Amino acid sequence: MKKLKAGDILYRILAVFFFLIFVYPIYFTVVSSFKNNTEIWNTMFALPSRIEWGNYVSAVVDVGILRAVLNSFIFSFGACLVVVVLVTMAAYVVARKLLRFSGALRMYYLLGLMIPPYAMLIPVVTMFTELGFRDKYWPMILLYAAVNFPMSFYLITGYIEGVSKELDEAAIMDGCSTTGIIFRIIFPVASPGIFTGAIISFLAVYNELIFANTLLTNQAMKTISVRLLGLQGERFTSYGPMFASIVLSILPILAVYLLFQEKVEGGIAAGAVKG
Amino acid sequence: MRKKIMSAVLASAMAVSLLGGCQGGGAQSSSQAADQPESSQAAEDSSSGAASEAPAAAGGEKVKVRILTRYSNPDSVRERYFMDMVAKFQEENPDIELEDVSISDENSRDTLFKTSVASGDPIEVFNFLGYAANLDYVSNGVVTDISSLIEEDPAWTEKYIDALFAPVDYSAYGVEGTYGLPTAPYGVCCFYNKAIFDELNMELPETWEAIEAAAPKLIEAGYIPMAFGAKDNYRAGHFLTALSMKYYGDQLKNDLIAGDKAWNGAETLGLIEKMQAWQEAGIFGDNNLAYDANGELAKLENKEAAIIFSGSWNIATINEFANAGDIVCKGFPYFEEKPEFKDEWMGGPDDFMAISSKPGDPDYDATVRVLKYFTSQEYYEGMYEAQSGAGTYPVKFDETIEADALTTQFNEYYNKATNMIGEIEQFSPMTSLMDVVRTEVTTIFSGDKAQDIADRIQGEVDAYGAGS
Repeated sequence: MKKLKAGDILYRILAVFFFLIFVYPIYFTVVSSFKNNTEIWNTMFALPSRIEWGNYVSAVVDVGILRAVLNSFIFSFGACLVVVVLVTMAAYVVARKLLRFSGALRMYYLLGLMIPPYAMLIPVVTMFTELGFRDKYWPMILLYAAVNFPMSFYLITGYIEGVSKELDEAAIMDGCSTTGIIFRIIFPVASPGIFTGAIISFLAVYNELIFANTLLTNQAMKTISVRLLGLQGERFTSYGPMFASIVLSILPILAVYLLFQEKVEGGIAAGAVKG
Repeated sequence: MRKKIMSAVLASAMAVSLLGGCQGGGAQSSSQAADQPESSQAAEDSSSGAASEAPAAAGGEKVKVRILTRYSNPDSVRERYFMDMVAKFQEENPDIELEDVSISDENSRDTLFKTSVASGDPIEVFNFLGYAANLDYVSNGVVTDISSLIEEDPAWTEKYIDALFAPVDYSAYGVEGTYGLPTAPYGVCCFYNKAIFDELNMELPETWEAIEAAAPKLIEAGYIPMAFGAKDNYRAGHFLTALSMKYYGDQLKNDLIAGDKAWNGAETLGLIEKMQAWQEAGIFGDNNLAYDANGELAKLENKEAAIIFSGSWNIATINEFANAGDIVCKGFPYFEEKPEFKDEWMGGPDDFMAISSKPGDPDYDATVRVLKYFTSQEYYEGMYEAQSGAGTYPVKFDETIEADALTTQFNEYYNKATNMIGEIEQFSPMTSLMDVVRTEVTTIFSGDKAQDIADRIQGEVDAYGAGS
């Protein structure tokens, strides 16, 4: 048996320590989703004395969390798709300086990073109301894509700049079009950077509250964040159904993570050193 | 070809970024909205909004009316009742599309309402708090005067308790009319776990002096004398007002609002110091910032806390405790040295249901129908039944249900009240004052000094005064 060095032991102790720190909120959420309010407050760490399945029934039937999860998923996935396609194309043009005003274009897009999205809440609400865009999927997807465009642009442009130009030149020599270069050459090579932008956009939309709360007033269109907020009563919060709703809303994210684990981790690692 | 593709790509990207890129225009518009009283903007815009809806209404199609309350938690009996009534209204009124946009979180509710007003499309039926803090909405025409509706249909409001209308009477500010109907009167009170006091062979302490005397024995026995869930910052605001009523009656409120006394003057500072001293003596327990009002209830039920400072809104919840029989309701403790203020209360009307639609708007009739439905005698009779008589109501009932013990005890005190006011800050036209006071007083529990807290509140009040 291999003898462990002092450093290895420390490493393993720290690994267990951090594992416990990270697993604690998940444990707390799952366990609390089976308790009533009083038990949540009184025995925070203990297993439930009696399983409260009613929390899940309430989350599904009363709160309508499954529909909310579906809505959040549609908005996140839609916005993510739009961002990836448009940002990759725009980032390529700017990164390769294919236009004379590429520098100005870069500044224009990056300006979006300097202005908090919620500073434009009132004009956006006015525009959505005037154009009849409220409670509709596509306008919301485009809005979310626009809000997340600058950050993804910043990341993906930085990544594409690090990709050798010789790849493009070789592709041109072989007769590849600009679109072909972007999607056949650049996209696979820059996929870690693109995935970083996609993940950030996806999570930002999945957790977004203010636009969803003001622009989506139809009950059938509400997202997870708005639904969860509804459980925080005027002077009484229903923590049991809230935790049950959180568990149900985590599941799709967990499924996506497990399906794309390699890409997600690669993307996060790329994001750590790029951009 | 390459240029064409580039143009297409850039055009798409620019188009998308323009959506979010209303930044420039957006910032301008928001600042304009900030400069201009938001409600006046809404008042101007409501006519255009109305015009756009006209064809639909005239064409015999459904008229859409939105209703915004803080009732969105299906676990609360009162909120669930409201939701059921929305569904019932929809069934009974197929010509109106009633969209319930309620959200119970106070900040989100405020954002939703303010945004709707500022964007020129104010929500048609909504709950608001009344008082001077909402004077702008009233004087700028966002809230519609419903006095003519009340005159036309006296039966609608004849059983309302007249005194509850005071916070929506703005005649003192030169604005005549009635701007809402009270929906949720309340009173702050205390709930005692009598089993703890019986176990320690102690009387239930009803004065602050008695609580101070009882505290060491309770703490020694492992109980929190009075649990205080400071994670909800409204707890501190309520407590300060309730305390001021028991020590100064409404005089301090009047002086603070008139500017005759400062928030860092001896009176308010003295009250904050009292709270701080009780906190340091362990009367409120510890780790107060780690739990909220739900935590207080859990501690009361679980026999960790001997007393909680709460309100009539929790009677229905406490009635569901396994040990509900052990819980006793009493008024907020008074001071032996101030017996003249024993029956001065924090309480009264909380929310008011109001409308933004104006006579002549295409959705006005539908809006009035919605308002009348959710403020009718039948509505409250149904709620009274759903809550089995528990809680407080803005109307009188012909037939009463035999109420539970807690409601009966609460009413014994409530009916003796000689004066009742809402939270002090509500009487100030400085809209942010409530949040400032609540947040600042809560910092007692993170170790801030009373003098610093009082100074910071006064600093905010001074800054508001300088800016207005």
